[in-house]
Amino acid sequence: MDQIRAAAAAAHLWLWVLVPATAIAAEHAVRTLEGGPRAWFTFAIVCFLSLVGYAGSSLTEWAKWRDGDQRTRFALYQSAFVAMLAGGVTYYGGYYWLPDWKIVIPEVGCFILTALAGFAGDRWLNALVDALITTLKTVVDRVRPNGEAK
Amino acid sequence: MAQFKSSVKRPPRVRYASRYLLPIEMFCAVLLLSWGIAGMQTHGALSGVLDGAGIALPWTIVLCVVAAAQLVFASVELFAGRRWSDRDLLLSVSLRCICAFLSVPVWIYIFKFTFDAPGATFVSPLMLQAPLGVLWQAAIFVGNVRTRCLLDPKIPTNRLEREVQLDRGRFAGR
Repeated sequence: MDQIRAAAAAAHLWLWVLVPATAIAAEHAVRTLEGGPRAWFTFAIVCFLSLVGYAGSSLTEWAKWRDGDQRTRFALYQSAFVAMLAGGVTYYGGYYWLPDWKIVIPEVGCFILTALAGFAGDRWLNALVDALITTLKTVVDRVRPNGEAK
Repeated sequence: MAQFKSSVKRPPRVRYASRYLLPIEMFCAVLLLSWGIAGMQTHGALSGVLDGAGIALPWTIVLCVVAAAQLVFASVELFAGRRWSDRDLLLSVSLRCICAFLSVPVWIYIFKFTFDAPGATFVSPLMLQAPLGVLWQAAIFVGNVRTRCLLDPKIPTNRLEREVQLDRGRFAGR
Protein backbone atom coordinates (compact mmCIF):
# COMPACT_ATOMS: atom_id res chain seq x y z
CA MET A 1 0.00 0.00 0.00
CA ASP A 2 2.83 2.38 0.88
CA GLN A 3 4.48 1.60 -2.42
CA ILE A 4 1.28 2.45 -4.27
CA ARG A 5 1.06 5.73 -2.34
CA ALA A 6 4.70 6.51 -3.16
CA ALA A 7 4.07 5.74 -6.84
CA ALA A 8 0.98 7.97 -6.81
CA ALA A 9 2.98 10.77 -5.20
CA ALA A 10 5.74 10.33 -7.80
CA ALA A 11 3.11 10.43 -10.56
CA HIS A 12 1.76 13.61 -9.05
CA LEU A 13 5.23 15.16 -9.05
CA TRP A 14 5.79 13.95 -12.61
CA LEU A 15 2.62 15.81 -13.64
CA TRP A 16 4.17 19.07 -12.45
CA VAL A 17 7.00 18.48 -14.96
CA LEU A 18 5.07 16.80 -17.77
CA VAL A 19 2.22 19.28 -18.06
CA PRO A 20 4.36 22.44 -18.45
CA ALA A 21 6.77 20.64 -20.80
CA THR A 22 3.89 19.47 -23.01
CA ALA A 23 2.39 22.96 -22.85
CA ILE A 24 5.62 24.46 -24.20
CA ALA A 25 5.73 21.86 -26.99
CA ALA A 26 2.07 22.60 -27.73
CA GLU A 27 2.82 26.29 -27.97
CA HIS A 28 5.56 25.54 -30.57
CA ALA A 29 3.16 23.30 -32.51
CA VAL A 30 0.41 25.94 -32.51
CA ARG A 31 2.86 28.51 -33.84
CA THR A 32 3.76 26.11 -36.65
CA LEU A 33 0.14 25.42 -37.52
CA GLU A 34 -1.15 28.97 -37.07
CA GLY A 35 -2.69 30.41 -40.21
CA GLY A 36 -2.43 27.09 -42.02
CA PRO A 37 -5.34 25.53 -43.83
CA ARG A 38 -7.94 24.00 -41.51
CA ALA A 39 -6.15 25.18 -38.32
CA TRP A 40 -9.46 26.31 -36.80
CA PHE A 41 -11.23 23.20 -38.02
CA THR A 42 -8.60 21.07 -36.25
CA PHE A 43 -8.90 23.21 -33.13
CA ALA A 44 -12.69 22.74 -33.08
CA ILE A 45 -12.27 18.98 -33.40
CA VAL A 46 -9.68 18.98 -30.61
CA CYS A 47 -12.08 20.89 -28.33
CA PHE A 48 -14.86 18.46 -29.20
CA LEU A 49 -12.62 15.48 -28.45
CA SER A 50 -11.62 16.97 -25.10
CA LEU A 51 -15.30 17.40 -24.27
CA VAL A 52 -15.90 13.77 -25.26
CA GLY A 53 -13.23 12.76 -22.75
CA TYR A 54 -14.72 15.08 -20.14
CA ALA A 55 -18.17 13.63 -20.76
CA GLY A 56 -16.74 10.15 -20.34
CA SER A 57 -15.52 11.09 -16.89
CA SER A 58 -18.41 13.18 -15.55
CA LEU A 59 -21.37 11.70 -17.42
CA THR A 60 -22.65 9.98 -14.28
CA GLU A 61 -22.87 13.35 -12.53
CA TRP A 62 -24.43 15.28 -15.41
CA ALA A 63 -27.01 12.54 -15.92
CA LYS A 64 -27.54 12.25 -12.11
CA TRP A 65 -27.07 8.49 -12.21
CA ARG A 66 -24.94 8.60 -9.08
CA ASP A 67 -26.58 9.38 -5.74
CA GLY A 68 -25.06 11.48 -2.99
CA ASP A 69 -23.18 14.75 -3.08
CA GLN A 70 -22.84 16.17 -6.55
CA ARG A 71 -20.19 18.65 -7.53
CA THR A 72 -21.39 22.23 -7.85
CA ARG A 73 -22.16 23.58 -11.27
CA PHE A 74 -19.11 25.85 -11.05
CA ALA A 75 -16.87 22.86 -10.25
CA LEU A 76 -18.27 21.01 -13.26
CA TYR A 77 -17.58 23.97 -15.55
CA GLN A 78 -14.11 24.36 -14.07
CA SER A 79 -13.31 20.72 -14.73
CA ALA A 80 -14.69 21.03 -18.28
CA PHE A 81 -12.32 23.94 -18.84
CA VAL A 82 -9.37 22.01 -17.37
CA ALA A 83 -10.27 18.99 -19.53
CA MET A 84 -10.35 21.14 -22.68
CA LEU A 85 -7.02 22.68 -21.73
CA ALA A 86 -5.50 19.25 -21.12
CA GLY A 87 -6.91 17.94 -24.40
CA GLY A 88 -5.57 20.88 -26.38
CA VAL A 89 -2.15 20.67 -24.79
CA THR A 90 -2.01 16.92 -25.42
CA TYR A 91 -3.02 17.16 -29.07
CA TYR A 92 -0.62 19.94 -29.98
CA GLY A 93 2.13 18.54 -27.73
CA GLY A 94 1.69 15.15 -29.36
CA TYR A 95 1.73 16.78 -32.79
CA TYR A 96 5.09 18.32 -31.83
CA TRP A 97 6.67 15.29 -30.18
CA LEU A 98 5.34 12.16 -31.87
CA PRO A 99 6.98 12.68 -35.29
CA ASP A 100 10.34 13.23 -33.55
CA TRP A 101 10.03 9.93 -31.73
CA LYS A 102 9.34 8.09 -35.00
CA ILE A 103 6.18 6.62 -33.54
CA VAL A 104 4.11 4.80 -36.14
CA ILE A 105 0.91 6.42 -34.88
CA PRO A 106 0.39 9.88 -36.34
CA GLU A 107 -2.71 12.04 -35.92
CA VAL A 108 -5.09 9.27 -34.93
CA GLY A 109 -2.86 8.56 -31.92
CA CYS A 110 -2.99 12.24 -30.99
CA PHE A 111 -6.78 12.11 -31.26
CA ILE A 112 -7.04 9.12 -28.93
CA LEU A 113 -4.61 10.74 -26.50
CA THR A 114 -6.64 13.97 -26.62
CA ALA A 115 -9.82 12.18 -25.60
CA LEU A 116 -7.93 10.36 -22.85
CA ALA A 117 -6.44 13.67 -21.70
CA GLY A 118 -9.93 15.16 -21.51
CA PHE A 119 -10.91 12.22 -19.31
CA ALA A 120 -7.77 12.48 -17.18
CA GLY A 121 -8.08 16.27 -17.03
CA ASP A 122 -11.43 15.98 -15.33
CA ARG A 123 -10.49 13.02 -13.15
CA TRP A 124 -6.98 13.93 -11.95
CA LEU A 125 -5.68 17.20 -13.31
CA ASN A 126 -8.65 19.09 -11.92
CA ALA A 127 -7.66 17.91 -8.43
CA LEU A 128 -4.19 19.26 -9.11
CA VAL A 129 -5.65 22.62 -10.15
CA ASP A 130 -7.77 22.66 -6.99
CA ALA A 131 -4.66 21.96 -4.90
CA LEU A 132 -2.82 24.74 -6.71
CA ILE A 133 -5.64 27.23 -6.13
CA THR A 134 -5.85 26.27 -2.44
CA THR A 135 -2.08 26.67 -2.06
CA LEU A 136 -2.16 30.07 -3.77
CA LYS A 137 -5.04 31.17 -1.53
CA THR A 138 -3.08 30.11 1.56
CA VAL A 139 0.02 31.97 0.39
CA VAL A 140 -1.98 35.11 -0.42
CA ASP A 141 -3.70 34.97 2.98
CA ARG A 142 -0.31 34.71 4.73
CA VAL A 143 1.28 37.51 2.73
CA ARG A 144 -1.72 39.84 3.10
CA PRO A 145 -1.08 42.50 5.79
CA ASN A 146 -3.09 42.30 9.01
CA GLY A 147 -6.33 44.18 9.22
CA GLU A 148 -7.15 44.04 5.53
CA ALA A 149 -10.64 42.85 4.80
CA LYS A 150 -10.71 39.31 3.45
CA MET B 1 -15.38 -13.25 8.15
CA ALA B 2 -17.44 -14.48 5.24
CA GLN B 3 -20.38 -15.05 7.59
CA PHE B 4 -19.98 -11.55 9.01
CA LYS B 5 -20.01 -10.07 5.53
CA SER B 6 -23.03 -12.03 4.43
CA SER B 7 -24.95 -11.03 7.57
CA VAL B 8 -24.94 -7.37 6.50
CA LYS B 9 -28.42 -6.75 5.05
CA ARG B 10 -28.39 -4.68 1.91
CA PRO B 11 -31.29 -4.31 -0.46
CA PRO B 12 -30.60 -6.31 -3.60
CA ARG B 13 -29.62 -4.19 -6.57
CA VAL B 14 -31.64 -4.19 -9.73
CA ARG B 15 -30.43 -6.81 -12.19
CA TYR B 16 -29.37 -4.97 -15.29
CA ALA B 17 -27.27 -5.62 -18.37
CA SER B 18 -26.74 -3.98 -21.73
CA ARG B 19 -27.14 -6.98 -24.00
CA TYR B 20 -29.44 -4.95 -26.25
CA LEU B 21 -26.38 -2.96 -27.33
CA LEU B 22 -24.31 -5.97 -28.33
CA PRO B 23 -25.58 -6.45 -31.93
CA ILE B 24 -25.10 -2.80 -32.86
CA GLU B 25 -21.75 -2.83 -31.08
CA MET B 26 -20.61 -5.81 -33.13
CA PHE B 27 -21.93 -4.24 -36.32
CA CYS B 28 -20.00 -1.00 -35.67
CA ALA B 29 -16.87 -3.02 -34.86
CA VAL B 30 -17.15 -5.02 -38.08
CA LEU B 31 -17.65 -1.78 -40.03
CA LEU B 32 -14.53 -0.24 -38.48
CA LEU B 33 -12.61 -3.47 -39.00
CA SER B 34 -13.52 -3.55 -42.68
CA TRP B 35 -12.23 0.00 -43.16
CA GLY B 36 -9.07 -0.93 -41.27
CA ILE B 37 -8.50 -3.97 -43.48
CA ALA B 38 -9.14 -1.79 -46.54
CA GLY B 39 -5.95 0.08 -45.60
CA MET B 40 -3.93 -3.10 -46.27
CA GLN B 41 -5.28 -3.56 -49.79
CA THR B 42 -3.13 -2.61 -52.75
CA HIS B 43 -5.96 -1.34 -54.95
CA GLY B 44 -9.01 0.87 -54.58
CA ALA B 45 -9.68 4.54 -53.91
CA LEU B 46 -8.99 4.42 -50.17
CA SER B 47 -5.71 2.55 -50.62
CA GLY B 48 -4.49 5.18 -53.08
CA VAL B 49 -5.38 8.02 -50.72
CA LEU B 50 -3.76 6.31 -47.70
CA ASP B 51 -0.60 5.52 -49.64
CA GLY B 52 -0.48 9.09 -50.88
CA ALA B 53 -0.69 10.39 -47.30
CA GLY B 54 1.79 7.74 -46.11
CA ILE B 55 -0.45 6.50 -43.31
CA ALA B 56 -1.63 3.13 -44.61
CA LEU B 57 0.15 1.12 -41.89
CA PRO B 58 -0.88 3.19 -38.83
CA TRP B 59 -4.40 3.42 -40.24
CA THR B 60 -4.63 -0.35 -40.46
CA ILE B 61 -3.03 -0.96 -37.06
CA VAL B 62 -5.16 1.50 -35.08
CA LEU B 63 -8.49 0.75 -36.75
CA CYS B 64 -8.02 -3.02 -36.66
CA VAL B 65 -6.83 -3.12 -33.05
CA VAL B 66 -9.68 -0.96 -31.70
CA ALA B 67 -12.32 -2.71 -33.81
CA ALA B 68 -11.04 -6.22 -33.09
CA ALA B 69 -11.01 -5.55 -29.34
CA GLN B 70 -14.57 -4.25 -29.46
CA LEU B 71 -15.74 -7.19 -31.56
CA VAL B 72 -14.09 -9.76 -29.28
CA PHE B 73 -15.46 -8.32 -26.02
CA ALA B 74 -18.96 -7.91 -27.46
CA SER B 75 -18.95 -11.42 -28.96
CA VAL B 76 -17.76 -13.05 -25.75
CA GLU B 77 -20.54 -11.40 -23.76
CA LEU B 78 -23.14 -12.21 -26.40
CA PHE B 79 -22.30 -15.90 -26.57
CA ALA B 80 -21.21 -16.63 -23.00
CA GLY B 81 -22.48 -13.83 -20.80
CA ARG B 82 -26.10 -14.77 -20.24
CA ARG B 83 -25.48 -16.41 -16.87
CA TRP B 84 -22.54 -14.30 -15.71
CA SER B 85 -22.44 -12.90 -12.20
CA ASP B 86 -22.66 -9.14 -11.69
CA ARG B 87 -18.92 -9.01 -11.08
CA ASP B 88 -18.07 -10.65 -14.41
CA LEU B 89 -20.64 -8.49 -16.18
CA LEU B 90 -19.11 -5.39 -14.63
CA LEU B 91 -15.69 -6.35 -16.00
CA SER B 92 -17.12 -7.05 -19.45
CA VAL B 93 -19.15 -3.82 -19.54
CA SER B 94 -16.11 -1.83 -18.41
CA LEU B 95 -14.04 -3.27 -21.25
CA ARG B 96 -16.83 -2.52 -23.73
CA CYS B 97 -16.99 1.03 -22.35
CA ILE B 98 -13.27 1.50 -22.97
CA CYS B 99 -13.56 0.16 -26.53
CA ALA B 100 -16.52 2.43 -27.35
CA PHE B 101 -14.70 5.39 -25.80
CA LEU B 102 -11.60 4.73 -27.93
CA SER B 103 -13.71 4.22 -31.06
CA VAL B 104 -15.16 7.74 -30.83
CA PRO B 105 -11.82 9.55 -31.51
CA VAL B 106 -11.02 6.98 -34.20
CA TRP B 107 -14.29 7.71 -36.05
CA ILE B 108 -13.73 11.46 -35.57
CA TYR B 109 -10.28 11.02 -37.06
CA ILE B 110 -11.80 9.22 -40.04
CA PHE B 111 -14.29 12.07 -40.43
CA LYS B 112 -11.49 14.65 -40.39
CA PHE B 113 -9.39 12.51 -42.71
CA THR B 114 -12.10 12.62 -45.40
CA PHE B 115 -11.83 16.42 -45.43
CA ASP B 116 -8.06 16.74 -45.02
CA ALA B 117 -6.43 14.09 -47.20
CA PRO B 118 -6.18 15.02 -50.88
CA GLY B 119 -8.56 12.87 -52.90
CA ALA B 120 -10.31 11.43 -49.84
CA THR B 121 -13.62 12.96 -50.88
CA PHE B 122 -13.79 10.23 -53.52
CA VAL B 123 -14.24 7.70 -50.73
CA SER B 124 -17.82 8.84 -50.24
CA PRO B 125 -19.04 5.97 -48.01
CA LEU B 126 -16.52 7.07 -45.41
CA MET B 127 -17.93 10.60 -45.36
CA LEU B 128 -21.39 9.20 -44.73
CA GLN B 129 -20.43 6.52 -42.25
CA ALA B 130 -17.99 8.50 -40.08
CA PRO B 131 -20.56 10.85 -38.44
CA LEU B 132 -22.91 7.93 -37.93
CA GLY B 133 -20.05 5.92 -36.45
CA VAL B 134 -19.36 8.72 -33.96
CA LEU B 135 -23.02 8.89 -32.96
CA TRP B 136 -23.44 5.12 -32.62
CA GLN B 137 -20.28 4.69 -30.59
CA ALA B 138 -21.26 7.59 -28.35
CA ALA B 139 -24.67 5.99 -27.79
CA ILE B 140 -23.02 2.65 -27.03
CA PHE B 141 -20.68 4.35 -24.59
CA VAL B 142 -23.51 6.15 -22.77
CA GLY B 143 -25.55 2.94 -22.51
CA ASN B 144 -22.60 1.00 -21.16
CA VAL B 145 -21.68 3.71 -18.64
CA ARG B 146 -25.27 3.58 -17.33
CA THR B 147 -25.07 -0.18 -17.01
CA ARG B 148 -21.67 0.07 -15.37
CA CYS B 149 -23.14 2.47 -12.79
CA LEU B 150 -25.86 -0.03 -11.94
CA LEU B 151 -23.48 -2.98 -11.73
CA ASP B 152 -20.74 -1.36 -9.66
CA PRO B 153 -21.51 -1.95 -5.97
CA LYS B 154 -19.31 1.01 -4.98
CA ILE B 155 -21.56 3.51 -6.79
CA PRO B 156 -24.78 4.43 -4.97
CA THR B 157 -27.58 4.43 -7.56
CA ASN B 158 -30.92 4.31 -5.72
CA ARG B 159 -32.48 6.96 -7.94
CA LEU B 160 -31.36 5.26 -11.16
CA GLU B 161 -32.56 1.87 -9.91
CA ARG B 162 -35.99 3.38 -9.18
CA GLU B 163 -36.07 4.80 -12.72
CA VAL B 164 -35.19 1.41 -14.18
CA GLN B 165 -37.93 -0.29 -12.15
CA LEU B 166 -40.45 2.35 -13.24
CA ASP B 167 -39.46 1.83 -16.88
CA ARG B 168 -39.85 -1.92 -16.47
CA GLY B 169 -43.29 -1.42 -14.91
CA ARG B 170 -44.33 0.85 -17.75
CA PHE B 171 -43.04 -1.63 -20.32
CA ALA B 172 -44.93 -4.46 -18.64
CA GLY B 173 -48.11 -2.35 -18.61
CA ARG B 174 -48.29 -2.18 -14.81
